[in-house]
Amino acid sequence: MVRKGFFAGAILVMALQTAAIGAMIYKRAMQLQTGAEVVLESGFVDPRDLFRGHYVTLRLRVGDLKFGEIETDRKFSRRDFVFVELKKGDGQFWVANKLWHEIPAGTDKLFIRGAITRVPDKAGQSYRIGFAYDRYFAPKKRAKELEKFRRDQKLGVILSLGKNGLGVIKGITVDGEIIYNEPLY
Amino acid sequence: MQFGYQTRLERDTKRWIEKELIDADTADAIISESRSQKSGYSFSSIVIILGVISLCFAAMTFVAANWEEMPKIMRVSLLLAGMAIAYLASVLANQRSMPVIADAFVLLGCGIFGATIMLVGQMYHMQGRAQDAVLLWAGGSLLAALVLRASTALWLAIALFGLWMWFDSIEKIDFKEAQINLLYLVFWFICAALAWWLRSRMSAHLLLISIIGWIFITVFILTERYDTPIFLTGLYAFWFVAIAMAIISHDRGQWLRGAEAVVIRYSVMIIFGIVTLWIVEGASELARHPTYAVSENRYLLSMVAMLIVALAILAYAMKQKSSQIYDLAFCAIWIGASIFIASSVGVRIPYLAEAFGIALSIWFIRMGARQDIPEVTRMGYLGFVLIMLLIYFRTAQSLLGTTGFYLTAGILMVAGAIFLPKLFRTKKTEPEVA
Repeated sequence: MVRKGFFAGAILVMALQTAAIGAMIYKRAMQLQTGAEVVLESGFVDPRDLFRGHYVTLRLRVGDLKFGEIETDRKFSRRDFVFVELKKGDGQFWVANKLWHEIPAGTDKLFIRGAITRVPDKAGQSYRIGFAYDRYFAPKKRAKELEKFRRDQKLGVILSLGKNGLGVIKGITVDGEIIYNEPLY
Repeated sequence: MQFGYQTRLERDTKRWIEKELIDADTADAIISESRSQKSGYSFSSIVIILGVISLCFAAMTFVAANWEEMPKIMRVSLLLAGMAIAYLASVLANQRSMPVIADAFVLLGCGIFGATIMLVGQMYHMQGRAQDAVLLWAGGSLLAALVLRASTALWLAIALFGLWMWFDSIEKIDFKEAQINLLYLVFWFICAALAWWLRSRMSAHLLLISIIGWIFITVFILTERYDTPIFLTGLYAFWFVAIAMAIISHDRGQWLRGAEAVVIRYSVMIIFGIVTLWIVEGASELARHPTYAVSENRYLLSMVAMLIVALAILAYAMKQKSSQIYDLAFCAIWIGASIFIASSVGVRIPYLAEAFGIALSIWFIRMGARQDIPEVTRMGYLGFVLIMLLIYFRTAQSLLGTTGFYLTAGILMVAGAIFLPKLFRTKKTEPEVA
């Protein structure tokens, strides 16, 4: 049995699904173009685990903050959303300045949004914050280059941050040298 | 036509000829008519669908393999072109009156749509929650199912909504503030309405499996909450109404389009799952919270609503002089019993839930025999054994010695296994009184 209106329906489905994909790419390109650029230092757990598949596991330093060494607007609980206020550090990286529950009104400072994964209850412990930027996919050939990464070199993540604290990865640096730079499309 | 049915029909017609109920010509006519009934999905159609599923996987592994040299936008364009070709192929198949092949290509188009989402997420380093990508894929597949009336796309959408619910739940399951995923129910009902409209039996199975998954995940999310047992009680009352509706539907006009036995099977499965968890968690939880007033319990109110629906179905059946009044009455009785259990706040009745579970098992065995659904009878036996085992774990170190328990349980089970089926067979052979 021939279904009536199938051709028009197929065109509609195709158009809407393509538009959804296009919107994903366009939104990210706009974020890259209009966002504020910051470079955050990333640590790693084990250099042998640097690549699982073709991606680098990122662990932003601003997500591991010692209790007592970082100011907070009020007490945090596990799973709370957190906005980490950033300031330019002494070196190449931006660092955490204060933790907020919401972005304060009328500020022109930069924030990165995350979620609290561990709350410290005594000195010596740290606030652990999870960010959406936990991995960076790299082509196989480029991934091989990063295997030469040494412990004494500093890995940096270039982010393009929006006013709402959300952002996209713009590139990767090693010892201040940009090794990946994301194209718009 | 099912192989099992054909074999049984041939065996039965042979016996009817021997008993001179029908002659050989009539038997031949019955068998040839039965053989002429072709299944909606031929073997070649099934192979095509399997082939298209393989192509979906091929598209996805192609993405995972990371094609190195091509510019990113070119890779996306290539996949979108593949998606367009799949949809155009479905249009051609539809024009040639090949609905199964058209549906298979729609499934391929939806598969490529998902692969493209994954590829874009990976290539452009779009960080975020995996469930958001799955939700977008599910939404696109649901749209295809609705607009193109393609059951295959609906199967994919149901599976993806289930996956979304799973991802969302495992993120929340380990903390007490987790909320029940009610949004999933909205998607579930949309898919259910579409499955009904498309008359998709496979979708009905997938929907029932999905809702069982949702119920159990919800129970786990709620485990730490004080009202979990009551929530379970309210929740499972609904499935007695589902059984009642399936029975009356089968009796009066097949409103569920032949899916009545399936609904009963899954409902029994869910009830057993919930009652088992209820026993494991302990109905006595209720007694631990005597200040929790029943009148304030919204779950109890929903249970009362279910009882009213079950009684309305029973009243309708009585008015219609239905032959199913016995089982319909029991559906209402079980809901009433659960209201009694939930209302006994502050009164600790030992082994109330266990006794309830055993009584239910016996009813399921009997209902399975009455309604001629052997799976329900088997589940009844299985449930009986399971609940006996649970009682053993509770009593072995206290009321009964282990040996004494095994002896009692063994005698009960052997007696049940030997005598109950015989009793039903005897009853079934008795002539029906008009």
